[in-house]
Amino acid sequence: MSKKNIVLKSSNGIIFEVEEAVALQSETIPYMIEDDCANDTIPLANVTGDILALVIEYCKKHVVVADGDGGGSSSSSQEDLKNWDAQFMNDLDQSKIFNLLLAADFLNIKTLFDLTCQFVADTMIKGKSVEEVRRTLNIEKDYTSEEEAKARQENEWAFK
Amino acid sequence: MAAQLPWELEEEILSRLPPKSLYRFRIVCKRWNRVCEDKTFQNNHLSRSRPQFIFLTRSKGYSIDIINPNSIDPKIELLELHSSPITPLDYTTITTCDELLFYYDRYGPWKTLLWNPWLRQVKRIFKIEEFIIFGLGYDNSRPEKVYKIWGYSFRRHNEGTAIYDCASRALKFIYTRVKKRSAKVERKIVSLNGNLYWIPLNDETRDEHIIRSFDFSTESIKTFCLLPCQKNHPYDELLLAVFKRDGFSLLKQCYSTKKIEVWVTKNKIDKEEVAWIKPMTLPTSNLPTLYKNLCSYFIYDKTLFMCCGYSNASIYIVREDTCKKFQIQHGIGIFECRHCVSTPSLISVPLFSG
Repeated sequence: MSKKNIVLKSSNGIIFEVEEAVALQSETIPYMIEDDCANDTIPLANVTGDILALVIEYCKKHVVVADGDGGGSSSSSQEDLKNWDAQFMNDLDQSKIFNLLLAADFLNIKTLFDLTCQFVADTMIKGKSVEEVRRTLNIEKDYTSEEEAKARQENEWAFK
Repeated sequence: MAAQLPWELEEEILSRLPPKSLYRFRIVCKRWNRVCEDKTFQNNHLSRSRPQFIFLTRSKGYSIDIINPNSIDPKIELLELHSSPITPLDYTTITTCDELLFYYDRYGPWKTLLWNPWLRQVKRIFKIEEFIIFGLGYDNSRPEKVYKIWGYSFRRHNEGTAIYDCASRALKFIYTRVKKRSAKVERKIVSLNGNLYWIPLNDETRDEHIIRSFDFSTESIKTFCLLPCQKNHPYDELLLAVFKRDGFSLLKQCYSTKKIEVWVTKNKIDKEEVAWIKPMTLPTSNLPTLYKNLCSYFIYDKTLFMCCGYSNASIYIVREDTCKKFQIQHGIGIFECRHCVSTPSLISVPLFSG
């Protein structure tokens, strides 16, 4: 099997050369290849170099397993991958996580998108207070104090 | 200062939170408040939810979630439900109609309820005298879900199958060939997209089981489809369940070997012909006997999750070559229970005047 490489260029001009199978986990990149067939480098204007490096790290880890999917990958390797995913996300700070989420959305990498959304939901929102969530997601409170008190009362059971 | 995510992504993240968290966060901002009522969001949320077991004892109700089901060391988590109906369990059935739970006593003297345990919403359905309940559905040709109960009325001088409209409280007699004795299969009637389905013996041939359906839009019974397998022994068990919200799964257990096989429908259930596929092979050891037992199950991510037992029930997680069993701990001693499968959802219980 011939291995074709694809060259990706981040918004700040950093070049990454990856195997085609790694890059093609993104459903956006194939369209960019078709559109820019004269050019060998695919410019990714929305993704910075440090985030693109993370995306590629993730895709490299996941490409092997996707390869062996024909016969159904064993549950132990799937579990290893889950553990790897958890560690991968745990090592990131909040701003990296948000940028990774934006990149996964833009590049349309479904598993990475799901992983990031679930991680944000579980670790940055689920067990937090209303004020913490507003701060984390930079959401402005648009309730008046009276409205907020009323809404809190209506949904009181959910605070227990 | 953190960057603000686009609303579409915020919505994606929110759709991965449990209903209780979402209700708590309704006061974050007005948009988060509105999204809980949005139909599209409710559907996205539901499609990402994993089913759980709803588990009722004489004194309490619980949800049972399985944490890390695919790991070497899964755990079961019991959470008490504060909106749980408390009644004697002897004649109690708990089942589902799409996302809502339907709780009733076979002879109806106590309670008939529509219940969303995830939102703590309970709606009592007006008591129907002398009525054996078969199942809850709705006319799926109409835009609004008007919940109706199909059952058997045994009022003197006026006996027969009937439909009870939960909103108008009207009882309408209809002609079907269903006999009163059919009530014994009632625990196994499955509701999907408004219609009811069950597995009787084929009346004509008497030697094969088929799926029959009751359609609330036509108010009639018809043969729905053939099964991918048959009983080889009268004590073999055939259990129908909803698969991925719009399909069926069929579980067969051979009584003598205890071997379990599971089929699922390939496409969603509509007017098309039904095709069955076998998504997995299962181990044969350590499985409980399902004959004359109470078994709730669902298939998720190529794994079979079962809750078995009328008393001292256990949870089984069965996949490929492993079967893990968890005894449900509820105080001490023998306890009676009922259970069913429910997917956490934001779908509200309708506010008809019951």
